[in-house]
Amino acid sequence: MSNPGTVVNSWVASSKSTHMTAANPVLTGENHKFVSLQRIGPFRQILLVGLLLGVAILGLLQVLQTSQVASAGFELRTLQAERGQLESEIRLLEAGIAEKARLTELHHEAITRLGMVQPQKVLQLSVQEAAPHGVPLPRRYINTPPLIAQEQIAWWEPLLERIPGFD
Amino acid sequence: MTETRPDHLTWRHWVVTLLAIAAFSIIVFRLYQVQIVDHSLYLDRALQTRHGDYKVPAPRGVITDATGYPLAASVDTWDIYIDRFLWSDINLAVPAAGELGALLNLNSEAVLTKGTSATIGDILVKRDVNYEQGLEIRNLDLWGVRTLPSARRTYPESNLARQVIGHVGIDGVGLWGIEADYDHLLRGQPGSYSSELDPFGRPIAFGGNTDNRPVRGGEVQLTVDRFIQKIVEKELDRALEEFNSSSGSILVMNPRTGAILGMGSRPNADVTPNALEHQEISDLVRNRPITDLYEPGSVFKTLTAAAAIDLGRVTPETTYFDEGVVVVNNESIYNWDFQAHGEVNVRSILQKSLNTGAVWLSEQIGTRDFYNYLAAFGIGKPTYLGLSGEATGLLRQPSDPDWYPIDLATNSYGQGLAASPLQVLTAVNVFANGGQLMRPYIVSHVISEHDVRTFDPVLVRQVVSTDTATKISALMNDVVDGMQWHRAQVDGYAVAGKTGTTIVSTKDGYDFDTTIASFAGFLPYEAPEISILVKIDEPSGDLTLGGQVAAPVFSRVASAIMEYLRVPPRDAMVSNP
Repeated sequence: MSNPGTVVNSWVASSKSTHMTAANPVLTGENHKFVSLQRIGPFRQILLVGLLLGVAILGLLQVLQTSQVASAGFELRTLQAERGQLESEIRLLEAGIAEKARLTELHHEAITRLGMVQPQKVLQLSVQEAAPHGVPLPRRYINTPPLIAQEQIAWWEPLLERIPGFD
Repeated sequence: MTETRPDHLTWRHWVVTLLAIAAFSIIVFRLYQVQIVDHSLYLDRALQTRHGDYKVPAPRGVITDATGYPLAASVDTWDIYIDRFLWSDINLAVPAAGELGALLNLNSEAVLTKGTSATIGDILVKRDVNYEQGLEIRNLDLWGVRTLPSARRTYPESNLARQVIGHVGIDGVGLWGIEADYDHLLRGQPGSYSSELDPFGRPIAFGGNTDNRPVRGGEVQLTVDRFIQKIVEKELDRALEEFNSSSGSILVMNPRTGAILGMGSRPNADVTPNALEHQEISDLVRNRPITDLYEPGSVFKTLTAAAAIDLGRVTPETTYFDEGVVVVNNESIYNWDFQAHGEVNVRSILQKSLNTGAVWLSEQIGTRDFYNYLAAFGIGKPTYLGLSGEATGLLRQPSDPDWYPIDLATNSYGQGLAASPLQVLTAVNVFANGGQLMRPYIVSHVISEHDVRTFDPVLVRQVVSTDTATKISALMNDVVDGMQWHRAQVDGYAVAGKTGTTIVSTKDGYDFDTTIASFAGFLPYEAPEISILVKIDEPSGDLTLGGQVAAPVFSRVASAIMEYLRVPPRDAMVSNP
């Protein structure tokens, strides 16, 4: 069995002398490949390397995208949970306000805190000013949230959309 | 170095090879069994173990009054459960029970016993735990303790307008009132959350999951104004106490639109979960102004007079001779005071509330026209208010086999037929609204997540001419402001109205010792803003008539509402130049 040093030597030597390749059948296959790489020329070599790099980058992009989707999903769930919690708190606060504004509460506050008393006599005055408007219909449940500007997308994301199978 | 290994397979190789083949064969066989033969069985088990499905309740919509104040709202709560499987590890369950008991103010031993005694399912520890408290428990992530979102219905004004608003059961379904009738809109659509779980039953953040957000319930806005409602209920309670009566109703409407501004009835109930178990609860919480029928009595004389005037058979000044009694089909009909009033005109018929005069008017109208007018006024038909349980009324028609000519006579003064307070006030509103019958309504807006529906006033028909309506209004004003002593008068405002006193019908006929006292009217007479019907059932004591019992209640309610609505009185003190 040949040792590694011998192989390297033979491999290097084979690039210079083809007859030595024929003499060493074990290395014949590698020699052919090596030779064909040498023969394709520098432009093609660059192209080949670029192609390999491109494939690698695409793979990386996919990993990036998957990672970003996962992160966005997690963030979305966190925000949804936060929104749910805030909505619950809003409902609690509204119920609290309603409790404070109940008629018995208002009556009690008027008498105890503000010291108001029932009028002994009611005097009506006519003025030529329109009465203030009543309380408008609460729209808290139908307010459309303001549109939020779309986030800046990463430079590589449009690239993915152009590749079949990445949509 | 010398090569010692043989260059062929020895028996050891064969043993190892056979053992390897046997081991792999067992594995392959088992894989075949698990993955192919019992595939569906293990798939189901895996899904059950690995997936958790949670129902996310939708927040129930709010019921608001006309000013936007929430009469019924929902707040989020938590239901606390124990996972009895996880609590089978007693070393972990004990500290969890200790913390949970302390947080919920429960005995820790009892919690532990409860959480470890059951054999199946999760165990409910406490329902409707306050939101903040539940959130604290959730964030502590106690061993085997699950917190599931829930909700509690709150009624900030307590029992105000409770028969109208209704109630929600423990399952979140409306039981009566608006809560039941608009349940499909208020309840929303529950969401669901399905997630992959870790071995401890916790959702895996990056596992496969589906999340259907709940759609919150819509909002229902009523035409009822809580300030007016409060006035109504306060005065109703006062009246029932003053006249020693057990039941009654007060209805306030906007006669020009048909909007119901206040609707109260007694008796009522303090609605608690325990109260729901009582059989009599349905009797206490029904919305009597729309469900209960009564004989409206003399209030009906306004309708009879209107029909006669509208047909041109009489004018307010047309006279007849009252002998104090009229005989129809051998039955004698007397005036309420058993007096003969001699020559009286139509105005006096209403002012003195003469039964004989109403009979005379019905004869002028004729049977067919009389019942046609009653139908036009909406008597004997539901008003289509939009609430369930509305009574149709009882009115025999001449075509019915059990109708007799005396029915025309008794119907003319509001006996021998039955109508709900809502039907009666809706009919009286015709005179305040230029002869037009408006459909009553109690819901003004229905607001869903993406839509707002507004209910506009609906004109049903022109019942009598505008001229007739004006004349009847004037006559009704004469009934109140034309009588110096009338107790329905309101300081600063002209009132149009009519009393009604009915003897109570029983299975065997009539109980002449008991009455239903009522008053229906509107004000200001010149430009009506509100109409009110007061009905006090079976007042006891010296005062039992409509003019004695219901009229003063009408006056107090009307006065308070005029002040609240800031309707200028006739005699305001100062006027700006």
